[in-house]
Amino acid sequence: MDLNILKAIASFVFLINIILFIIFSWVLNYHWERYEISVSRTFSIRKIYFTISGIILFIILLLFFNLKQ
Amino acid sequence: MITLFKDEEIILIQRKYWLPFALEAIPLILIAILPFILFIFIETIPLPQDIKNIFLDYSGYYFFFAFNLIFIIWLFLGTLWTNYYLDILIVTNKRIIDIEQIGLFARDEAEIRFEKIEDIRIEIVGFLPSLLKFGNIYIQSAAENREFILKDFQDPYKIKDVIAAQKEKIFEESIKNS
Repeated sequence: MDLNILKAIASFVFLINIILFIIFSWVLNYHWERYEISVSRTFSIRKIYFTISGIILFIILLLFFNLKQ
Repeated sequence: MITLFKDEEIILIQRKYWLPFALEAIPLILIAILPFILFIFIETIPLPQDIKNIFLDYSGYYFFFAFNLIFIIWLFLGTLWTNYYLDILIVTNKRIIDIEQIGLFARDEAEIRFEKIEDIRIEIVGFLPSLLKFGNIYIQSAAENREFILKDFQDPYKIKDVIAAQKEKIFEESIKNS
């Protein structure tokens, strides 16, 4: 198996995920801010969303830098 | 969010029941953990040894793509939850407001004034809705000749009672004033 191709695909997938994360976060954030009733709850929702996203992205990043060359 | 009229007070705020959301979310969670279950049981799966070796040799790539899948599913879960969470029913002393989030780019806000309510019907169909007491509320509007549908709300009888009591109060007030 050609590792260079695999690594290129992995880089592309990672890039797509980052772009999706930016778009989804922007849209979801807009909805929570615009339509949520309680400000404190919006803050909690945001905290949970960004913490879990951050953890998953961090694991992905670690795995990405440890991929076989 | 919602602009209330002068002298308008909120009587009840109700979100949809969580079960329909959970039934949509569970398959996504199962898809997210599937690659890890597959990897744990790879030795017991009847596959040629060469393929198993590829899985094991490239486990770094396997987990990288598995976590990317988890991340995409997490974003979809966030969207699904937002759709569920922003569906809301608000009963004020003047009207009923039903807000429905349809995906990320569509939103439906409907309202009906108590004076225009003609009939309220409750529908609880199926084993789980009967057991967990959630269902639909149909409000027949006299003036506009259309039905106002509130889907998958918890304890629809309680909502119906609140609406009926407020409608009665408004009716009595209108008799007093006339």
